[in-house]
Amino acid sequence: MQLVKEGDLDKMSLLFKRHYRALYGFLYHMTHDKGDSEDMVQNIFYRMLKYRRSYTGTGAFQTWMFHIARNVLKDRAKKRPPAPVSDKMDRLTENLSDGKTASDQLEKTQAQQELYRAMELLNDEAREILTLSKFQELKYQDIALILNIGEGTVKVRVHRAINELKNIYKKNRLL
Amino acid sequence: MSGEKENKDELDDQQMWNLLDGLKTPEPGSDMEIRFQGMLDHYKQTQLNKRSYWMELWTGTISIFNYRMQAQLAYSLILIAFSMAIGYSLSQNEAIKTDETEKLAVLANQVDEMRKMMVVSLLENPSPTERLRAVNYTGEMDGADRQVIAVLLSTLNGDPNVNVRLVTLDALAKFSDQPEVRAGLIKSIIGQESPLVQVAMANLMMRLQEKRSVTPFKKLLEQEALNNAVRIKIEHTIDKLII
Repeated sequence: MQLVKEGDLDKMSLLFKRHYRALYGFLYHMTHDKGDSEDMVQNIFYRMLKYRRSYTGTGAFQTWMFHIARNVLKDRAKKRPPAPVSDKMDRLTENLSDGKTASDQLEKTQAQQELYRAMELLNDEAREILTLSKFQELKYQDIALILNIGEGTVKVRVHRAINELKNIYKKNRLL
Repeated sequence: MSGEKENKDELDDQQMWNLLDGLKTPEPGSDMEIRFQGMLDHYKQTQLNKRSYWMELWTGTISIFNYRMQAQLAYSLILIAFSMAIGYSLSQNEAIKTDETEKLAVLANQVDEMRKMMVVSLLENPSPTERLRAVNYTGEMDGADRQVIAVLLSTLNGDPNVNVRLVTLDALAKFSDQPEVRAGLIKSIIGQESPLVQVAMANLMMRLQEKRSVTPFKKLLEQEALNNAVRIKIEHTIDKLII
């Protein structure tokens, strides 16, 4: 990124190849919308180019990238109200049905749907911390830097989030 | 059914955590890299255009300064420097007063030189407004050297704009104690074609009581095309001068 900052814009391609999947994963788990997530990845890399001079180089590139990603997510939330859970579940079913046999798929899809539904019902803060910790496999230390909180707070929030998810999940299965 | 419920109740944090492994992230679209490359190329092009725009703007600004404002800018800067020097010198104690006075004299001399350069340079400007400004600068001078007088006389004789010639005549009148200025003014009478300038010349000569101007005025009277009002004015001037 330092080279991009100094004007070698072609180096951004390298960063894109290295990070776009992880970024897409984060955005997908936050929004459960494939198309939006892809658009947001482009938007985030565009912002990185535009604001490259604000990159200080003191922290990891990934931290800076997730800072921008969170801002993009906030902007998206401001621009439009969240989609109803039913819409999201329709999209989810569509996304999960790639290349599986019908019966397996049905069973798995149902289980996953319940889990996705539970994730959907989580508040944004809890979903974010679980996404960073579970799906991005980031260390507490890195999450602390991204969220600008202490490492201890991260531990507490992850624990609280998993508990909340568990409660929602159990409640849904009993219904 | 109750066993199943129990199992669900017993679901602990670790199991919940492991269950999340089942949530896979779908593959992003295959065209993402192509889209990114397109965006990057477009951005690079925009940056290039933006840079050339700023370069053009900068070059344009510089050229404006070159053609019109360079001299004025330099003049203003010298004046600021001069004023600062005065302020600085006034704040100094008596012991260094003499030294500062010398420095001030040098600075004042430099400002005067700058003004002269300004006048000479601006009088060549194609804009009459700029030439008028140049002539007005001479009013701020303590005295005019040969070069400035020569340029002013040349303007009086050859400037296509009547207003510039009139203002130049006024400017030269301030230096009329200098013999070469008087000589130049007398010589200029016969060449003036504008009635306004001719009348102004007559007024000036009357004020200066310059008897040597009678001859050129008489020659002017020989011109048939001379304006009647001017003719009367000149005749009156001649009468007053030869008394």
